[in-house]
Amino acid sequence: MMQSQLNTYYNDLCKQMLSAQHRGEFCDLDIVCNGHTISVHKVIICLQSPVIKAACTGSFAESCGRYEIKDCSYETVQGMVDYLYTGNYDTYTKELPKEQSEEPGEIVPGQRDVFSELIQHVKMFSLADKYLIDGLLELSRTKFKKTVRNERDTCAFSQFVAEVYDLQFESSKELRDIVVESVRERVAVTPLKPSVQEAVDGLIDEIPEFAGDLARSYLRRPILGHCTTCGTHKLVSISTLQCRCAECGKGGATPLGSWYEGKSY
Amino acid sequence: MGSSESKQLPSHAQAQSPEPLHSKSRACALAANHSSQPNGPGGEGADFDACWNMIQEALRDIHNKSCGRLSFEELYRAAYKIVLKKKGEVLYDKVKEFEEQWFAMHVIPKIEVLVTKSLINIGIDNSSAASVNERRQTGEKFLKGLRDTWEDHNMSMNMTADILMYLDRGYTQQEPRRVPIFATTIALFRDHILRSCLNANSDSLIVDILISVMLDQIDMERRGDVIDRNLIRSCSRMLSCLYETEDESESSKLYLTIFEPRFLSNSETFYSRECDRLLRESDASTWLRHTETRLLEEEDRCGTTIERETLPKVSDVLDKKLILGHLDDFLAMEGSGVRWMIDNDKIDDLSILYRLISRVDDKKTALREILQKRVVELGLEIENVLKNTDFSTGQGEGEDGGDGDKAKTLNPAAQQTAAAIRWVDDVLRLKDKFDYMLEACFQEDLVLQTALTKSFADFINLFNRSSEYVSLFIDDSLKRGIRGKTEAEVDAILEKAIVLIRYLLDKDLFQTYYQRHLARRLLHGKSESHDVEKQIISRMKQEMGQQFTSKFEGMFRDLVTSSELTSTYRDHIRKLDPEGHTIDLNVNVLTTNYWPQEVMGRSTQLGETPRMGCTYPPEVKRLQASFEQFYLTNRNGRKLTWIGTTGSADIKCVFPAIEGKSGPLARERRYEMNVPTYGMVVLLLFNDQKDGESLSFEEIQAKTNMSTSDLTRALMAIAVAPKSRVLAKDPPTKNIKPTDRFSFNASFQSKTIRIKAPIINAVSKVEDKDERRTTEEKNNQTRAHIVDAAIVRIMKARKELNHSQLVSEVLSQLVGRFKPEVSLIKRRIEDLIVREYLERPDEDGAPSMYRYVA
Repeated sequence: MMQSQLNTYYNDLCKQMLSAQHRGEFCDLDIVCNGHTISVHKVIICLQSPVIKAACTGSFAESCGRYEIKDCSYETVQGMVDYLYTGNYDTYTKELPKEQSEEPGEIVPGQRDVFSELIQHVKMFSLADKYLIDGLLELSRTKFKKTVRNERDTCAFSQFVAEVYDLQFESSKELRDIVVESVRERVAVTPLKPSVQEAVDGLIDEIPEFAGDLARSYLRRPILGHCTTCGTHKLVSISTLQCRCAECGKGGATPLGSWYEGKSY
Repeated sequence: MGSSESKQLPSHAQAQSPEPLHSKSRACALAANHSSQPNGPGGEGADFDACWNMIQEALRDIHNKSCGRLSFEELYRAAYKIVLKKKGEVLYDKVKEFEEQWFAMHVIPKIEVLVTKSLINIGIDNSSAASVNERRQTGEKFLKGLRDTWEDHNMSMNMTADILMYLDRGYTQQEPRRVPIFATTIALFRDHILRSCLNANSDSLIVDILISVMLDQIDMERRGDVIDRNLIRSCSRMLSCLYETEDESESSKLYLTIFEPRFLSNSETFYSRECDRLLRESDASTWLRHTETRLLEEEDRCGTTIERETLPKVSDVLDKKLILGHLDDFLAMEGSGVRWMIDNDKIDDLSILYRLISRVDDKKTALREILQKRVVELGLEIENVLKNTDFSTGQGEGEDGGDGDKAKTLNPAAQQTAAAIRWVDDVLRLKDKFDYMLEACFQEDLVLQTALTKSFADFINLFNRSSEYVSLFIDDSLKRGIRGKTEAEVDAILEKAIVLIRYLLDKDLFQTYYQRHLARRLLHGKSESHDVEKQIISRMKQEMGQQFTSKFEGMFRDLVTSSELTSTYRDHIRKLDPEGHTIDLNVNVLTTNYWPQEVMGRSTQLGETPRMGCTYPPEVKRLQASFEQFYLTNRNGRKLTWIGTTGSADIKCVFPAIEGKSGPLARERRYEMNVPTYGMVVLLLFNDQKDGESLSFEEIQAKTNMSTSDLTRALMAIAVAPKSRVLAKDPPTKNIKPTDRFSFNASFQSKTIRIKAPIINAVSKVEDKDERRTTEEKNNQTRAHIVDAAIVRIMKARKELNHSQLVSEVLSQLVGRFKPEVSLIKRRIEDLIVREYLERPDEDGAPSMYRYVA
């Protein structure tokens, strides 16, 4: 079979699975959460989450076809089910266009929604971690990172930093790295803005782990910046000598906060 | 969850932290921080206790198989929370401690009661006094107890591991010195049961007893008892699920490290004994069947009783012990060995034998050698039977020879033909037998096919008349054998002939015979079908090459051009003489080299003077001169020689009415006769004789100038042969003597108008001893020339060569024509040195060198 035909076939199969789930056809597992019931197919769910698989195949109470999830919002669980059927999930506040303009300094309305979006990604991340769904883990991390990078309000981080560090666990390390990086970025761009300093100081006092991560980040990678060779989309550690990019070894990198940062040349 | 598969852990997403070492140490530090944090007295500790209590309860329920009401999610979340709180290590240790306690209190005692004295005895000595039945029951009881305990344990540990899945993910995987919780808990069974004695009176480990009992049961089954296969399988599965260490590498499964070696050595002993017993008590056929049954049994056993991965190894044991153990002894067994199987067409036995041998030996040496030996033996037997058979009272076979009355006794030629056909038939039958065997028993095995072909060639070439007999067989087939046969049948006969030719080593000798026989068939119109003749020649061409058949094809070409020539000559004559009073001439112009020397009128016997031909009557001479003139007009420089011995003439004879006789004799009789050319020459003499006058043999010879032998044969045809006795002989004996007198047989009568006088040939169709010696001598002379030519060709190219290289090159050049003896090559080399084609360079150290003399 041609590859494209095969892809079409897979696409159709997934769509049919999804519509069967919407119609409640052939569903053999009810996921219950906060009084809501989501009917799903074991074959879809269990193949992707070893935890739910163990629950359904073992001789526990869940083997009767009802799986109750506590300590979690219905929306998040629904998001997880969406992912398991479609490979993606949506955040449920959609006032913001997904692709934000890149110009710095533009004031974007509706930042409250950006924040709730971030919270959703964090929750999704922690749910994926709990149910050992690796794909969802990766997806939510990517989404989180993108949203954080796009968030331009210099003070907004104070809220999501707290949220991320509430996760309190190893696997959220990646999220923490993203958070620390983003805080450093903001501090570098507006070093003298009192509100930023205040916010950072507050976080350091409140969350000792964040303070530790931040300090370690500065110690290990004192200067962060963009390398023209490696691409401007990511932050890299820069060697102090000759402004070399530590990743590719080329000189001519621009340290964060330089007067020509962000200009093209 | 009755499955006893080992637990699969979800693979952990890699490289979550770029510096794992560092982050780990931080985790520890933070864990310490948390515990020292005054986060509400007993806040987190109480949390942990609550969760742990819940889990502990659940573990107990799982062991008691009353977990149906437990919520997996609750338990999982409890463990998840503990791990999130960095208490994974505590949880891990607590679970381990709990399981160890449970094991000591509830599991070990169950096993201890099973380890009885009689059980230990099985382990020590399985041929103990206890009866088989007792032993089986004791063993089964033990195995069942062990299996049940294991299955409970395995199931509980699987469920526990399910609940604690997040523990492995969040804690165990970060700790290099920790193995998954399942590996730790499942190993309790190995450490506390399999590797302990559990009985104060014995020092055998449980695992040893277990394996002894399992092997004992398997041996019982091999001896024909019925055992509980599933029980054994559960135990072998258990050993497959446990590992030597907690690393759980595939090669350290207890099944592989402990059970399998003992199983294999046990099987070795068992089958080695069994093979000895079979050799003592049974025959080869029983052995074959028994071995095959055993192979199937072991295959079945690996599928149902133990693990499939053991199959190749236990098969190997069977191959070595049961098949190879006494292979040669069984094959050579009198009255049931391979020889007996071949002679009695034991297709099944041979098939099994082939399958078994193929398992152990790609070359099938043992079988091959016996087969080859037997083929040669049977082949030589054919020859012996032939020697001891009297063909003189043949089965009506053989063609009408020259003797006057067609008696029951056959002439020597027909006898030889019968013998040849018999020989060919027997050889072909033998070949069919082995061909069938090859197909039905040996799966068309290439090695055996090659070996058989070689053996056939061996015995066929050991028989010194094979070339002649093969040619005679083809001759007979083409003269009579293909009459009324379908194309497919004819094709089968051709195929047989080709098969035989393929075996012949002395192809040049065959060529000589075939040429002679073909010439006779063509010149005397004896061939049944020219199409078939051409077919067989084209097949020979495919097999043996252009050179081999060039003469035969030349013979056919001669005949084609001759018939054209005859008709153009006839047209030519008709123009000159429209009345058509001349004699009709049908000429075959034969190219000297294509046709056998005997036909071409050269000496048949060495040393005999060439035949003189004869004095033809004037009218024939005129005809000859006319044709020669016509022929040579367009073809300069050719020499035509008339060969009277191979031709024939149609003549019209008138026999007068005889007075005083009744019936046909009272009337004048006109017959058309076909007589040999020389017969015609003799008959024409009597046109000039008056009635009642006779001519003596000498007088005829004087007038015709024929050689004695030619004349004798001509007179045989017209004065002795019963249906064509147009000359009366005095005395009327069957032999022709120089003193005999001949006269016109006026009272000759025949039922048919057309009469064919038999052709009596100078060259008999089948050779007698002397003739064969002659043929061989001639052949050897030809060979000497061919060897000469080959040597000179090689030396011309190589300039210098040592003796052995030269010999081997000559042999390789001549393969396909014949296989010269090395002594012949040596003689030819010496001869060539004498004739100064070659020389020996007188150099030291190279005594066997030859150099080409330009």
